[in-house]
Amino acid sequence: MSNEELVKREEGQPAANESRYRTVSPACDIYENAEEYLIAAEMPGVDTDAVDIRLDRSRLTIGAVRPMEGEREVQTAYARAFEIPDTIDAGGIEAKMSNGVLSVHLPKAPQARVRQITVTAG
Amino acid sequence: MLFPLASTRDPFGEMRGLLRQMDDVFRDADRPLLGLGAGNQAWPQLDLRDEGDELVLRADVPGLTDKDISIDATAQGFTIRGEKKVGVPEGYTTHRQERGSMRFARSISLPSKVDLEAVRASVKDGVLTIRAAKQAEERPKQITVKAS
Repeated sequence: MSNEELVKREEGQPAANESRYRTVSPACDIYENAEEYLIAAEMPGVDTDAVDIRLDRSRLTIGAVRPMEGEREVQTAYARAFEIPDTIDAGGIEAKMSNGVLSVHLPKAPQARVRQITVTAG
Repeated sequence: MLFPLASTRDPFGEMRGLLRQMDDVFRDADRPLLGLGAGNQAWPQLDLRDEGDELVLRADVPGLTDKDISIDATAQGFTIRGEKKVGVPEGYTTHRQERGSMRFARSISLPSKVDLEAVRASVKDGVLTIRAAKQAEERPKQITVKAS
């Protein structure tokens, strides 16, 4: 199942293979500092290679099909979409999985960073 | 500002959100009422499977490592305990916080007695797996049918 299908599922449009996947919207935290936004998403059972992250203009989607041990009738798929500001440096987006938590780093474009301006006495 | 979809730009977003909430209500309907954890569902969520000679329990513990979890085992059941700590990373401000910190304890009774010497537990990718061999007399036996 492609990431786009996953996101469609999340938004309530039934997919053709309705019965095979149960789509879970992972719990997410969103943080910000001067340099970047940081998304942390709980996706237990998924390793780095299984995660699919896409940026289509301002729409960031994260998705993964969770591999399941043993025979299952229904697989679990994670999917979530975010609207991101256009001040993100798309080329610098990085992601990693750690203990079932996905971290996505979205660096701000240099012109969008907060700069500290020193006031000088005149 | 960064925000998840289903918001102001999308006139149907709110409706979809409602539909999703309704789905959640029905999905939660068959969950046990006791053992309250995050919200009104037991935590961690887990599966217990009978694999013939072994019982295999898998629990979702995203963000936790072996140091955060302890297991008390008896021949009839397991209790999983621990603490989930979600802190704001240093130097960041928070826009949205859905992941929660909590102390948890969940007890599961087993459908057959297990051999306590042969219980193995490991955690990988945020999933705790406990494998326990059934006591010899509880294992399935194959009986050959002979023509008479």
